[in-house]
Amino acid sequence: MSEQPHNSSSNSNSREALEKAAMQDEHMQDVHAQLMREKEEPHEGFSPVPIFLMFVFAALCFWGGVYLVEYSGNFQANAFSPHFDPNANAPKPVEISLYDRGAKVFRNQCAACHQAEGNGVPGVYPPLEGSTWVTGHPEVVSRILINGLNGKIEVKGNSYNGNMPAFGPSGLALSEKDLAGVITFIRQSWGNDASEVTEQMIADYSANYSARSTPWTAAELKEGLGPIPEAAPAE
Amino acid sequence: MKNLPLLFCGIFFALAFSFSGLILSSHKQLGSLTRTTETLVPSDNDPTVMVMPEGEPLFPAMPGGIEQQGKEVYISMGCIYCHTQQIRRSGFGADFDRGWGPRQTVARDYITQDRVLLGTMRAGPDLANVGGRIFQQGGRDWHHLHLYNPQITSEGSTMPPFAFLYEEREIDGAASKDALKFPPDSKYAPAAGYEVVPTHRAKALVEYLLSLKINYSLPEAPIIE
Amino acid sequence: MSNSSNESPYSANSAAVRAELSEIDSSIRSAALFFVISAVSWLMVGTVFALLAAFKAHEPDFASTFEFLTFGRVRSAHLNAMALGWGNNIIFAVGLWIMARLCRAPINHKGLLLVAGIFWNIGLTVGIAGILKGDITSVEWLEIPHYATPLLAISYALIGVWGVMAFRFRKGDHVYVSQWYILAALFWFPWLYVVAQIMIIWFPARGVVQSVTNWWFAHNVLGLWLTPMALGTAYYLIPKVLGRPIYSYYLSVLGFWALAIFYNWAGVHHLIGGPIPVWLISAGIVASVMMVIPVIVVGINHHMSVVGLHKEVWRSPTLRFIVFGAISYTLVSLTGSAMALRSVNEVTHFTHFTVGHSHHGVYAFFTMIMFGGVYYMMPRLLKREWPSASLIKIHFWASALGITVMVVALQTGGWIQGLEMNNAEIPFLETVQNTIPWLKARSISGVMLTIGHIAFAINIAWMLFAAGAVRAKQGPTLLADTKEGGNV
Repeated sequence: MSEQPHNSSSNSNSREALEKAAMQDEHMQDVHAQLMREKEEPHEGFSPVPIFLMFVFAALCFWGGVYLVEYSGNFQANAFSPHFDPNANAPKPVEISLYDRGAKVFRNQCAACHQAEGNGVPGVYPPLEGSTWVTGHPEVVSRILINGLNGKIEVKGNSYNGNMPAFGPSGLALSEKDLAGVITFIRQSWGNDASEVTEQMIADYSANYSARSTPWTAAELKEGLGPIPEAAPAE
Repeated sequence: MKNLPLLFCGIFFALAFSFSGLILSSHKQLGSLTRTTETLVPSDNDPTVMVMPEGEPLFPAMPGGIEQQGKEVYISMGCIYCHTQQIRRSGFGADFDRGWGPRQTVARDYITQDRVLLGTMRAGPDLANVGGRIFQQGGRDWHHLHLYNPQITSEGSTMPPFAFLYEEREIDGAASKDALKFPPDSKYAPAAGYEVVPTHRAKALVEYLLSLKINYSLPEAPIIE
Repeated sequence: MSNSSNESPYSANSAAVRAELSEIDSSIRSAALFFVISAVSWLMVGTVFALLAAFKAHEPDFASTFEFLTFGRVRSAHLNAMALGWGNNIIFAVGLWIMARLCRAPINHKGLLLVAGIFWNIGLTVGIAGILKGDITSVEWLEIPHYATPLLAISYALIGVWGVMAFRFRKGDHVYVSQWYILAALFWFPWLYVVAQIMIIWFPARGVVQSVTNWWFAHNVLGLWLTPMALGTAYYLIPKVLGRPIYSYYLSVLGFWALAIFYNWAGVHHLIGGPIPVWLISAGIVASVMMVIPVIVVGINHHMSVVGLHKEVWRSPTLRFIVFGAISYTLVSLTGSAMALRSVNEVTHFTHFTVGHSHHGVYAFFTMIMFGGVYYMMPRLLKREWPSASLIKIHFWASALGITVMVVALQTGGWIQGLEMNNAEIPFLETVQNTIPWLKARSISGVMLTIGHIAFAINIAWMLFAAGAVRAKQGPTLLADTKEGGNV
């Protein structure tokens, strides 16, 4: 032993005594035993990287670059498919029928209360399916949609006392096209079989009623109806 | 290795690289997404620019109050560990064919959510559009029975019962209108004279599930009719 | 480095070096023992939660009346107890110890380190109690509620400082590969954790930016925290036990930098098909496949260092675990690269295949290597030997067979589940029911792992407290008969 262990603070005078003591101290023997079998701290050899690996890695990097260019959707925020084509992405306005447009509006705006099947919730939301308020004179249902409806109303033999919001300019302000669509949809779904209500008809009704600020009552609805427009024959 | 500045710089830039590449850049790309109309129309001033038509509703909708409370319950029960809320595109997996949604979900669908629960496990079905599949009062009743004990509605399911969200109590006078409507002879039904009613947490959770809907188009993800 | 190997203080038989190592071991003794005991306690806690979750996955009615034991919470309690309780504590023990040894820098102010460690474990206990109570965040790998995370972050920062300080005051100018890995991981983890906490919990980013951050973090906990720590441990102990150098410095360099560059992009592969722009996903896929480079490099480097000495590996408890872990690293990483490919991911995504894969990584690779590290470190800290070779054998076989059964069961079952889910003709409920036999196999494998953990814990407790533990001068506890004494 050419060097003093660091953890020994002994000076040279007591060194001999310490070593003697160590021979008898079992703990020291354990430490010594452990120290003596400690192998050297790790270090590295310098074998070269196998050359074929470098080729494999180069090929991988090449593949990665190609993949990224090929399937990155031009790095656009609205590309969600690896087969995204930026040129085909110009959104074309989709022309859908009045009925389909209405179906969409209905799902979003009406189904929560009147339910997707138009059967309402007993005692709370009147059914639209089979309701003569819906399938009767188109002006009645249009009035309800434009200005809303308040108070007692009798639907299919049951009495309801609700508060239907306005979807015309004084309320949610749906477009005339959407109103025409949703009215057409509820008049022609779930077995209902009434005439289509066109955008033009809604425009006419709107002109008459958009100034009105109060919702309709059931009694008022039946008064002062105009003639059913010729343009929309019952189908 | 002895070149320590290189080691430090390398360690720093390795993570800085992916941090800026993945986190900052996606934040830049997606962080400013706003609600939009279902389709865009050419601008009056410049037909090459697409703008939102006026007066059309904006999507995705803002979550309602009770639905938000229900989402808290969804989070605290750890539903995310078996249910995803993302629909993959048509042709990738069978999300579409299973009718889990009318279109794939895209980044904009999640911008109104303060916690995004995409999920990575489908021990149960996807729930992104569960409100579009299970709806109305009937759906509400279904959810309550299903949460009370999934075996009532889906025998053989591995979903755990959440009966602790319900209260079994003696019928006092008239039965509650909220009481669970067990099928006749159900072995899970309470004894005669007792009823099972949902706690507020159960009601909120069901309202949240009913509100999960992908029933609108987005310009970048139109509903394929 | 080779030119100076003769004068290097690390060369064999240098009494000064041996004494220095002993001094370093003594300086870190109390802290390292505290972290080992904490880690093993959390391992047992995590095992109980794991068994509960595994059993509940196929027996949903089991213990279902207790809200705090509902599946989602038990599963998350398991994950956090294992990752932050077992994983981090054992990293603090083994990682700091290796760092101190390689830097030849004794640990100072160990009382403060101990306090930081106690706070880490208090924070974690509060966090896991919070998860069970229902304050779980439902953000994968970040389930700990917000009131516990600051404590975790602060106590981590305090603990990490010791590693950095050891490095700062190192002796010698050569920095060994294990030091690169450990230093980098000590630096990467807090960055990941703080960014994820801020962008998801404290000031939620908009929409799916959260999800990208979530998986950038969650995958990097494995890739930039557990993996470098485990690789650093393997790089230290393989040559140390065998007494021969690591095969190639160049491969070490290539492996380290390739991991540093590619791994941290890979996490996005958890969102393939999801609602984030496709370029992010493709970047994640490319990075995952590029991980083949560091994996093969590290695999060759480890294999060539061990080759020809298989008997040594077999009789050393340390190396038996570490070599199992190193082989698993190659296997699990190559599986991971394959799983990132879109066509494979279409099947494996959203299934138990992924669960099997994460256990393959965190258990078969990380945990096994850490077990090996503990088997080497403890005799040096305590100056005693392992009391029972049989318990070590039980531990090894229960863990090795248990994790193999688990990975095979979950990945087979998960693959079938994925194929069935992608066939819309098969009702969903049927796909669920067909996973049940595989989930039962998983529960059985869980019982096997539990047996291993109990053997491990008994051996450690015996070693710590029993007066009759094997004395060091009687030679190391080995797993096979040998004529000559040796290293463990």
